[in-house]
Amino acid sequence: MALTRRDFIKVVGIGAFAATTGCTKLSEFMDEGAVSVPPNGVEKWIPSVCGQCSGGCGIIARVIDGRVVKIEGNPLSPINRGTLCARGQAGLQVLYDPDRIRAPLRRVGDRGSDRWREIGWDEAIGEVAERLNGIRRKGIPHKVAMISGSERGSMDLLLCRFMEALGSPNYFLMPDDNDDIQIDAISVMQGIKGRPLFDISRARYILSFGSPLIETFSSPVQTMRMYGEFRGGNGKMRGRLVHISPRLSVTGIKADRWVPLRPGTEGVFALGIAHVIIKESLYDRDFISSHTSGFDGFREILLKEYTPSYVSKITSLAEDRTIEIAREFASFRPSLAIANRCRLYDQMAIHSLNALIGSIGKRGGIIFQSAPGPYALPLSERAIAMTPISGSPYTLSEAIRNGSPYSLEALLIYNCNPLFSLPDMHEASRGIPFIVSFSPFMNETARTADLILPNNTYLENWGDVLSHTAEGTAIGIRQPVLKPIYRTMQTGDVILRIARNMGGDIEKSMPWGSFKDALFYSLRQLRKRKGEVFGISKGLRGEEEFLEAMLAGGGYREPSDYQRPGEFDFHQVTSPQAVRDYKKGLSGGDEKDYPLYLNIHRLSTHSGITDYNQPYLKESLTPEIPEAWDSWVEINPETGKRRGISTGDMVVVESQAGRIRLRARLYQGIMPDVVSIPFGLGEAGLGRWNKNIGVNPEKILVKDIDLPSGNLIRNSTRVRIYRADG
Amino acid sequence: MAKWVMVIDLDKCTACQACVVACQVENNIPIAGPDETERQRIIRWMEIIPFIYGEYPDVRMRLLPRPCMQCDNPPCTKVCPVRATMLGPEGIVAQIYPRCIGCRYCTSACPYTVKYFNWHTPSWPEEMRNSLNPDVSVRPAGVVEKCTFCIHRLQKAREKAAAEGRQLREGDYIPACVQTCPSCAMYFGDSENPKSIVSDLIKSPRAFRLLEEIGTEPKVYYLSEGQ
Amino acid sequence: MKRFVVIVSIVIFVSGCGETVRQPIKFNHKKHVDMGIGCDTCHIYVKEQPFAGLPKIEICLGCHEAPITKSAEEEKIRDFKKRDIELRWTKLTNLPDYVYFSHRRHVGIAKLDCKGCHGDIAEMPVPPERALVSLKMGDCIDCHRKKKAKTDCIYCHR
Repeated sequence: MALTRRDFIKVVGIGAFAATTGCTKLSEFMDEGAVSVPPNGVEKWIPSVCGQCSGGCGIIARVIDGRVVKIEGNPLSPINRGTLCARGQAGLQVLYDPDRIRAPLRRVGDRGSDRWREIGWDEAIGEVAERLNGIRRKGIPHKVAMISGSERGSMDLLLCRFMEALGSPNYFLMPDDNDDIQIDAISVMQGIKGRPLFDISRARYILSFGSPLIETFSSPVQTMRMYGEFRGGNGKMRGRLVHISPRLSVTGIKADRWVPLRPGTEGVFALGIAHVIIKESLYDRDFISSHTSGFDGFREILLKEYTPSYVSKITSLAEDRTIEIAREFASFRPSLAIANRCRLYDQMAIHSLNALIGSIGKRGGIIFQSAPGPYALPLSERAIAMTPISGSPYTLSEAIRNGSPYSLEALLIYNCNPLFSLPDMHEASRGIPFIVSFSPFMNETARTADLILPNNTYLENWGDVLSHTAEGTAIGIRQPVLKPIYRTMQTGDVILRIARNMGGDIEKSMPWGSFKDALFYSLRQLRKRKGEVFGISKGLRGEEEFLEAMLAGGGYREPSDYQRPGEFDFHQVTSPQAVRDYKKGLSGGDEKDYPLYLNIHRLSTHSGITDYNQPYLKESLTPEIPEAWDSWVEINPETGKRRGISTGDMVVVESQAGRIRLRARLYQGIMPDVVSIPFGLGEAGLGRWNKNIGVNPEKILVKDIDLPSGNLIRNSTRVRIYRADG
Repeated sequence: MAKWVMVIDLDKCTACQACVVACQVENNIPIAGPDETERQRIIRWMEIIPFIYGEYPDVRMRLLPRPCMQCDNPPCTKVCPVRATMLGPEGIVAQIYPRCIGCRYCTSACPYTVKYFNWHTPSWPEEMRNSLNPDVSVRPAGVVEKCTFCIHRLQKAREKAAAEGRQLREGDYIPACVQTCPSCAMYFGDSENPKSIVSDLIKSPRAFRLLEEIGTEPKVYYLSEGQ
Repeated sequence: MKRFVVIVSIVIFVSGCGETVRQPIKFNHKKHVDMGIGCDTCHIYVKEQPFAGLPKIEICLGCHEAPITKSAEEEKIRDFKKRDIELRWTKLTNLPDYVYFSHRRHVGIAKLDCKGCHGDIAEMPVPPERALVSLKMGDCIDCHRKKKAKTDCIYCHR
């Protein structure tokens, strides 16, 4: 056999080569580690809904011989229109995560010892039913609590109903990274619950107060799509974005201007802007007279107190800055002011800017839409009169620890990892005698459980997700794209089986044979409404054809109904309590001992996901900082120089609550008196790609609960920083 | 003959890295892991490169998605001793793995650093092999690889068009990165087709190419930020 | 070993040779073809997909649900079905991963004869023990030149 020139070079390069090829099968030469791609087959594209966050993007999965080889966006979904983000693209690493829990597990060692025994589903379900029945028989069903990850569909209703039927008011939804918006302010000032829609695509000017606008906002892919349109897509004029924040995030980088602002002063800065708008009569008189109350009092206080010079004193920003931004904001309408979910009064101050220029309830502003009303499960037969143990999930750990107002007998945890996002839950969990996890992943919360009843991953599950778009409301339908690959079970089915097992009223309240039945019960009701199935406008006959078409297209949509926004209440923005809060600023430690503020920033690749064991996401953490597979702390080069810290040095970041060690990264995009650490790494799970990878900055958070909203304030902690060897 | 061109609008781009991950999934890119990443041996056919200008507080940054530029005058092909990398007839720079001897001349010659060497036989945990794309091979150790504009998608699209007895239409063939882009900042098409979007966009006053001055004639165009 | 593979694999492009292969049923290609049954009756994907497809038992049962002959081999089909055993044919013609080849392109669109690449398999009364034709890259190129098809590396190598 002749050797080519290429071979020759190669052979010379490696030395000896014996050409004894003869008639031999190729496969024999494949070395140990070599991977060959599984054979090709007929491909199917199955529509479903992404489960990497709560955004509700429609997906289509490319399935070949029962293997899923790619996920793309569903072009028919009005949420994402055929596109998908990095997390969505990485979804196969959730399904094929080699460290997934493959069967129900019973803990056989101490908590945290990681000693487990596989058990059967009947045994697992039977035990949960028996324990819960035992608690009921003692007449203390309110001592059972459930924490659920953000769910926007029938699963939420089913869990809520189960807890209600059981007789417990303690059903908690973990706030989601996508909720990092002024939703508390909207709820308090306008009396509107539920998720507002920011019509970014049609806005001409956006003031972002530290908002993770293009990282993880509301429904991230939808927001990014709207951002593309905002920047001149669809033949529209290019919008302008100003980002106000202590750290230059991706949103800040992409903004037309970044304004570094000291943590905790955003409310005052917003009021300074409001001052200029009022003083120069740039506000929307019609909107204020017809949709708001309390403007006169607000105006008086603002004009008197929040002058540019006062604001400049608090924020250290030049007076001209405030005036310039105020003028731009008021003249480039429609414009939007977007807060992150900071202290309630700061949110309110920022949100009042939207009311001032009338950017509420109209195109290019904040839109409120109704959700399909009858689309729900019927009321359960039981009602509960007990008060919940805690008003918010952030205060839950304290209530549990103190046993006040009562202690907990059992905790059920679904689709979230509270021990990671709320580190003080660790201690609280010790006092709970029975913990059940439904996690498919061995994360730190699952590791404390007594029983793990592993859910399927989203690609193996049924479900539905409700989302709002500027064009209307959409319900995406999640259907299994393949059969469960392990001995896992959809938690909806598990809950129904537990209910059946418990019998009595609970069984009666949960009459469906499977979660799919409950889901279809909900979906059937949509037929009576005015909307349409994805991709099909009319011509569907009968319920079954309607359901089939929904499964084939991926969901259902109905046109926008712009709800009248609730009357906007200016009173509270300048209430004595609010003013006290603005003045107080942030307090997370003594300035002398802890001279720097700790900022915790989000990574678009690690927000909202429940499984941190995804290697593609670990490789591409964030585009602006060239780091991967580890945490880092961002330090302004000036600050670093003064402490003798360079990029790559191991440093200690210490607060009143504790200390962590991690690598330093000098970054021009951070204020000199602030350091920033990304959130999303350092999860103490057992997955091979998250074990010992990075640190969780929440461990050194000085717990600071914003009393009016119950939110955890994440930017108030003060720290000091020094070299680990010094 | 078609000439395939990519246009990336930096004003719309959110640097979300969907393109990066979509490319990895589509093209069976191996997982590097912490140690190999530390040694700069991570493979990313599509990567977002940060550029930073100025100092705090007057700091500006630019985030540039960087696939292979598919140069019309590629420096990499000229140094290849075995013609394992060459300019294809439709302007896509080919990398023929079984020909490649792993000398890495092309890796050094590429001014855009788009070429990656396989230092090891790529391996996946058994479970994850199921997600490998059958349209793309897994490269062995010792060869160089790079972005192909997802040419396997062109083959499929062309075959489909032929089977339906028609010409390839605009949008029939787009790479995985372009398909997934959430802010629709990426465009792809045939610049020889005067009706294509890309042939219009590359004439925009905002259009520029990377290192244009060195004469590589890239076929990836960027639209600059701002007005 | 890896380097060795690379070298050898370009020499043996389509490996036709190798140890002898035994198939689950002694399928008689000749008999079926003589009866006028086309290749795509059993290799159902040959015109629509990159691969031709090896028949699943259901395809056999389409005709052989009830006995047509007295052949013991035929009886095997129903026996396999009864015992719920999957038909596992061994593929004789294997392409390396890095070559893109599409049956749809060659058979469905260009209407090439199967024989051109697979040889006289239609004449075989018993399953061949190895591929009848051993193809190398040169064979592909020759044909592509003759038919004025593309010969650029990039269109077949992946």
